[in-house]
Amino acid sequence: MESPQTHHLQTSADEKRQQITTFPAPKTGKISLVVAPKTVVESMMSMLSTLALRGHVIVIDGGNRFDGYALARALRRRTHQVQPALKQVLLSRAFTCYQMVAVLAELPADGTPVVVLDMLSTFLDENVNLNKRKRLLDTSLNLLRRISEAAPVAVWARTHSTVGDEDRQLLISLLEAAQDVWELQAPEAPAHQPPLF
Amino acid sequence: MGRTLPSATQLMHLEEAALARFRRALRRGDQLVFDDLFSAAQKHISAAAYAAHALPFETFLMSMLLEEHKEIMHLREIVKKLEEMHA
Repeated sequence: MESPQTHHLQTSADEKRQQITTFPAPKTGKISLVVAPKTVVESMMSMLSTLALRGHVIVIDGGNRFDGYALARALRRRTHQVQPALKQVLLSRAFTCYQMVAVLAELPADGTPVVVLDMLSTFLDENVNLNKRKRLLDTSLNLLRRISEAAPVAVWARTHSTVGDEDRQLLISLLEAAQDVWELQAPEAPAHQPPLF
Repeated sequence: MGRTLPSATQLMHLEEAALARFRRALRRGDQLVFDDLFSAAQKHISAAAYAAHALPFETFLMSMLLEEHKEIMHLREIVKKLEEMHA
Protein backbone atom coordinates (compact mmCIF):
# COMPACT_ATOMS: atom_id res chain seq x y z
CA MET A 1 0.00 0.00 0.00
CA GLU A 2 1.36 3.41 -0.96
CA SER A 3 2.50 5.32 2.09
CA PRO A 4 0.69 8.62 2.61
CA GLN A 5 2.36 11.74 1.36
CA THR A 6 2.18 14.59 3.82
CA HIS A 7 2.60 18.19 2.80
CA HIS A 8 3.10 20.75 5.51
CA LEU A 9 2.10 24.23 4.49
CA GLN A 10 3.43 27.07 6.55
CA THR A 11 1.47 30.24 6.20
CA SER A 12 3.07 33.61 6.55
CA ALA A 13 1.16 36.26 8.46
CA ASP A 14 0.11 37.83 5.13
CA GLU A 15 -1.15 34.52 3.74
CA LYS A 16 -3.08 33.85 6.91
CA ARG A 17 -4.71 37.25 6.56
CA GLN A 18 -5.56 36.52 2.93
CA GLN A 19 -6.67 33.04 3.93
CA ILE A 20 -5.85 31.57 0.57
CA THR A 21 -3.55 28.64 0.01
CA THR A 22 -3.63 26.72 -3.20
CA PHE A 23 -4.53 23.07 -2.98
CA PRO A 24 -4.23 20.94 -6.07
CA ALA A 25 -7.31 19.14 -7.28
CA PRO A 26 -7.56 15.58 -5.92
CA LYS A 27 -6.72 12.63 -8.14
CA THR A 28 -8.48 9.34 -8.75
CA GLY A 29 -7.15 6.44 -6.77
CA LYS A 30 -6.38 8.31 -3.59
CA ILE A 31 -8.08 10.20 -0.82
CA SER A 32 -6.64 13.70 -0.43
CA LEU A 33 -6.98 15.07 3.07
CA VAL A 34 -6.68 18.69 4.10
CA VAL A 35 -6.13 19.23 7.81
CA ALA A 36 -6.65 22.90 8.54
CA PRO A 37 -8.70 25.41 10.52
CA LYS A 38 -11.87 27.04 9.17
CA THR A 39 -9.89 29.81 7.47
CA VAL A 40 -9.15 27.32 4.70
CA VAL A 41 -12.73 27.48 3.36
CA GLU A 42 -11.77 29.99 0.66
CA SER A 43 -8.98 27.65 -0.51
CA MET A 44 -11.32 24.67 -0.51
CA MET A 45 -13.79 26.63 -2.63
CA SER A 46 -10.94 27.51 -4.98
CA MET A 47 -10.10 23.82 -5.33
CA LEU A 48 -13.78 23.06 -5.80
CA SER A 49 -13.94 25.61 -8.61
CA THR A 50 -11.23 23.66 -10.46
CA LEU A 51 -13.35 20.53 -10.25
CA ALA A 52 -16.58 22.33 -11.16
CA LEU A 53 -15.01 23.68 -14.33
CA ARG A 54 -14.21 20.12 -15.40
CA GLY A 55 -17.69 18.71 -14.77
CA HIS A 56 -20.01 17.50 -12.06
CA VAL A 57 -18.72 17.44 -8.51
CA ILE A 58 -20.45 16.20 -5.38
CA VAL A 59 -19.97 18.17 -2.18
CA ILE A 60 -20.91 16.77 1.20
CA ASP A 61 -20.98 19.43 3.85
CA GLY A 62 -20.51 17.99 7.32
CA GLY A 63 -20.13 21.20 9.29
CA ASN A 64 -22.24 23.78 7.44
CA ARG A 65 -19.08 25.25 5.91
CA PHE A 66 -20.00 25.46 2.24
CA ASP A 67 -19.58 29.03 1.02
CA GLY A 68 -21.44 29.56 -2.23
CA TYR A 69 -20.24 33.14 -2.60
CA ALA A 70 -16.60 32.15 -2.19
CA LEU A 71 -17.10 29.46 -4.82
CA ALA A 72 -18.72 31.98 -7.17
CA ARG A 73 -15.81 34.39 -6.69
CA ALA A 74 -13.29 31.60 -7.32
CA LEU A 75 -15.13 30.66 -10.51
CA ARG A 76 -15.41 34.28 -11.64
CA ARG A 77 -11.64 34.60 -11.45
CA ARG A 78 -11.41 31.84 -14.03
CA THR A 79 -14.43 32.17 -16.28
CA HIS A 80 -17.28 34.45 -17.25
CA GLN A 81 -19.63 31.45 -17.28
CA VAL A 82 -20.17 31.27 -13.54
CA GLN A 83 -23.74 29.97 -13.53
CA PRO A 84 -23.11 26.83 -15.65
CA ALA A 85 -20.14 25.98 -13.46
CA LEU A 86 -22.14 26.49 -10.26
CA LYS A 87 -24.78 24.11 -11.60
CA GLN A 88 -22.14 21.39 -11.76
CA VAL A 89 -21.90 21.39 -7.98
CA LEU A 90 -24.29 19.01 -6.25
CA LEU A 91 -24.45 19.83 -2.55
CA SER A 92 -25.62 17.54 0.24
CA ARG A 93 -25.51 18.39 3.92
CA ALA A 94 -25.14 15.98 6.80
CA PHE A 95 -26.07 17.03 10.33
CA THR A 96 -25.35 13.78 12.15
CA CYS A 97 -22.81 11.02 11.75
CA TYR A 98 -25.61 8.67 10.70
CA GLN A 99 -26.57 11.06 7.91
CA MET A 100 -22.94 11.28 6.81
CA VAL A 101 -22.80 7.50 6.39
CA ALA A 102 -26.17 7.47 4.61
CA VAL A 103 -25.15 10.22 2.17
CA LEU A 104 -21.85 8.52 1.37
CA ALA A 105 -23.56 5.16 0.88
CA GLU A 106 -25.93 6.65 -1.67
CA LEU A 107 -23.21 8.22 -3.80
CA PRO A 108 -22.79 6.72 -7.25
CA ALA A 109 -19.41 5.23 -8.06
CA ASP A 110 -19.43 6.76 -11.53
CA GLY A 111 -16.26 8.80 -11.44
CA THR A 112 -17.85 12.01 -10.17
CA PRO A 113 -15.37 13.75 -7.85
CA VAL A 114 -16.40 13.98 -4.22
CA VAL A 115 -15.40 16.69 -1.76
CA VAL A 116 -16.29 16.33 1.91
CA LEU A 117 -16.18 19.50 3.96
CA ASP A 118 -15.52 19.46 7.70
CA MET A 119 -16.03 15.72 7.78
CA LEU A 120 -15.38 15.19 11.48
CA SER A 121 -17.93 17.73 12.73
CA THR A 122 -20.79 15.27 12.57
CA PHE A 123 -18.68 12.73 14.48
CA LEU A 124 -18.01 15.07 17.40
CA ASP A 125 -21.45 14.33 18.77
CA GLU A 126 -21.44 13.54 22.47
CA ASN A 127 -24.97 12.14 22.20
CA VAL A 128 -23.55 9.17 20.32
CA ASN A 129 -21.25 6.72 22.06
CA LEU A 130 -17.60 7.15 21.01
CA ASN A 131 -17.20 3.53 19.92
CA LYS A 132 -20.30 3.84 17.79
CA ARG A 133 -18.95 7.03 16.24
CA LYS A 134 -15.65 5.30 15.49
CA ARG A 135 -17.48 2.46 13.75
CA LEU A 136 -19.53 4.92 11.73
CA LEU A 137 -16.38 6.81 10.79
CA ASP A 138 -14.72 3.59 9.69
CA THR A 139 -17.78 2.79 7.57
CA SER A 140 -17.61 6.29 6.06
CA LEU A 141 -13.92 5.90 5.28
CA ASN A 142 -14.51 2.51 3.65
CA LEU A 143 -17.18 4.09 1.48
CA LEU A 144 -14.79 6.90 0.55
CA ARG A 145 -12.08 4.38 -0.32
CA ARG A 146 -14.50 2.60 -2.66
CA ILE A 147 -15.46 5.92 -4.27
CA SER A 148 -11.81 6.99 -4.61
CA GLU A 149 -11.08 3.93 -6.77
CA ALA A 150 -13.11 5.51 -9.53
CA ALA A 151 -13.13 9.21 -8.69
CA PRO A 152 -11.06 11.94 -7.07
CA VAL A 153 -11.91 12.35 -3.39
CA ALA A 154 -10.94 15.27 -1.18
CA VAL A 155 -11.74 15.56 2.49
CA TRP A 156 -11.28 18.53 4.77
CA ALA A 157 -10.85 17.86 8.48
CA ARG A 158 -11.24 21.08 10.41
CA THR A 159 -8.80 21.60 13.24
CA HIS A 160 -9.71 23.46 16.38
CA SER A 161 -7.64 25.61 18.69
CA THR A 162 -8.22 23.11 21.49
CA VAL A 163 -7.90 19.46 20.57
CA GLY A 164 -9.70 16.90 22.71
CA ASP A 165 -8.75 13.26 22.99
CA GLU A 166 -11.78 12.18 20.96
CA ASP A 167 -10.91 14.66 18.19
CA ARG A 168 -7.44 13.20 18.07
CA GLN A 169 -8.66 9.62 17.85
CA LEU A 170 -11.05 10.40 15.04
CA LEU A 171 -8.46 12.44 13.16
CA ILE A 172 -5.97 9.58 13.37
CA SER A 173 -8.47 7.29 11.61
CA LEU A 174 -8.85 9.88 8.89
CA LEU A 175 -5.08 10.35 8.54
CA GLU A 176 -4.63 6.61 8.18
CA ALA A 177 -7.20 6.44 5.38
CA ALA A 178 -5.72 9.26 3.32
CA GLN A 179 -2.94 8.87 0.80
CA ASP A 180 -2.27 12.57 0.35
CA VAL A 181 -2.31 14.83 3.38
CA TRP A 182 -2.13 18.62 3.32
CA GLU A 183 -1.60 20.08 6.74
CA LEU A 184 -1.85 23.81 7.24
CA GLN A 185 0.29 24.98 10.08
CA ALA A 186 0.08 28.28 11.87
CA PRO A 187 2.93 30.68 11.07
CA GLU A 188 5.97 30.51 13.29
CA ALA A 189 6.26 33.27 15.85
CA PRO A 190 8.72 35.82 14.46
CA ALA A 191 12.11 35.87 16.13
CA HIS A 192 12.23 38.58 18.74
CA GLN A 193 14.53 41.40 17.75
CA PRO A 194 15.62 43.37 20.78
CA PRO A 195 15.37 47.14 20.41
CA LEU A 196 18.48 49.06 19.41
CA PHE A 197 18.39 51.23 22.52
CA MET B 1 -31.63 24.38 10.46
CA GLY B 2 -28.04 25.37 9.83
CA ARG B 3 -26.61 28.74 8.94
CA THR B 4 -28.65 30.90 6.59
CA LEU B 5 -27.03 32.96 3.88
CA PRO B 6 -25.77 36.39 4.99
CA SER B 7 -28.14 39.26 4.32
CA ALA B 8 -27.42 41.75 1.53
CA THR B 9 -26.41 44.31 4.16
CA GLN B 10 -23.96 41.84 5.72
CA LEU B 11 -22.59 41.04 2.28
CA MET B 12 -22.00 44.71 1.61
CA HIS B 13 -20.15 45.07 4.91
CA LEU B 14 -18.05 42.03 3.99
CA GLU B 15 -17.18 43.50 0.62
CA GLU B 16 -16.34 46.82 2.26
CA ALA B 17 -14.13 45.01 4.76
CA ALA B 18 -12.40 43.13 1.95
CA LEU B 19 -11.48 46.51 0.43
CA ALA B 20 -10.33 47.98 3.76
CA ARG B 21 -6.64 47.83 2.90
CA PHE B 22 -7.27 49.46 -0.46
CA ARG B 23 -9.26 52.23 1.24
CA ARG B 24 -6.57 52.70 3.86
CA ALA B 25 -3.96 53.31 1.17
CA LEU B 26 -6.05 56.03 -0.46
CA ARG B 27 -5.65 59.73 0.21
CA ARG B 28 -8.12 61.15 2.68
CA GLY B 29 -10.13 62.91 -0.03
CA ASP B 30 -10.35 59.71 -2.04
CA GLN B 31 -11.41 57.79 1.05
CA LEU B 32 -14.41 60.09 1.38
CA VAL B 33 -15.29 59.44 -2.27
CA PHE B 34 -14.87 55.71 -1.67
CA ASP B 35 -17.27 55.90 1.29
CA ASP B 36 -19.71 57.87 -0.82
CA LEU B 37 -19.71 55.12 -3.44
CA PHE B 38 -20.70 52.54 -0.87
CA SER B 39 -23.37 54.88 0.52
CA ALA B 40 -24.75 55.08 -3.01
CA ALA B 41 -24.80 51.29 -3.28
CA GLN B 42 -26.64 51.13 0.04
CA LYS B 43 -29.61 52.91 -1.57
CA HIS B 44 -30.30 49.86 -3.72
CA ILE B 45 -29.64 47.16 -1.15
CA SER B 46 -33.16 45.77 -1.38
CA ALA B 47 -32.80 45.33 -5.15
CA ALA B 48 -29.48 43.57 -4.56
CA ALA B 49 -31.15 41.28 -2.03
CA TYR B 50 -33.98 40.49 -4.46
CA ALA B 51 -31.50 39.79 -7.28
CA ALA B 52 -29.79 37.09 -5.16
CA HIS B 53 -26.85 37.28 -7.53
CA ALA B 54 -24.13 34.65 -7.22
CA LEU B 55 -21.63 37.50 -7.19
CA PRO B 56 -23.27 40.16 -5.02
CA PHE B 57 -20.43 42.65 -5.53
CA GLU B 58 -21.45 42.98 -9.17
CA THR B 59 -24.88 44.22 -8.08
CA PHE B 60 -23.24 46.67 -5.66
CA LEU B 61 -21.06 47.99 -8.50
CA MET B 62 -24.17 48.32 -10.67
CA SER B 63 -25.87 50.28 -7.86
CA MET B 64 -22.88 52.64 -7.62
CA LEU B 65 -22.92 53.12 -11.37
CA LEU B 66 -26.66 53.74 -11.29
CA GLU B 67 -26.29 56.53 -8.74
CA GLU B 68 -23.36 58.02 -10.63
CA HIS B 69 -25.38 58.11 -13.83
CA LYS B 70 -28.36 59.64 -12.04
CA GLU B 71 -26.03 62.40 -10.89
CA ILE B 72 -24.72 62.89 -14.44
CA MET B 73 -28.26 63.08 -15.85
CA HIS B 74 -29.22 65.60 -13.17
CA LEU B 75 -26.15 67.73 -13.91
CA ARG B 76 -26.89 67.57 -17.65
CA GLU B 77 -30.34 68.99 -16.94
CA ILE B 78 -28.83 71.83 -14.91
CA VAL B 79 -26.26 72.58 -17.61
CA LYS B 80 -28.98 72.55 -20.28
CA LYS B 81 -31.09 75.01 -18.30
CA LEU B 82 -28.13 77.26 -17.70
CA GLU B 83 -27.28 77.22 -21.40
CA GLU B 84 -30.87 78.11 -22.24
CA MET B 85 -30.82 80.95 -19.73
CA HIS B 86 -27.71 82.42 -21.24
CA ALA B 87 -28.63 81.77 -24.85
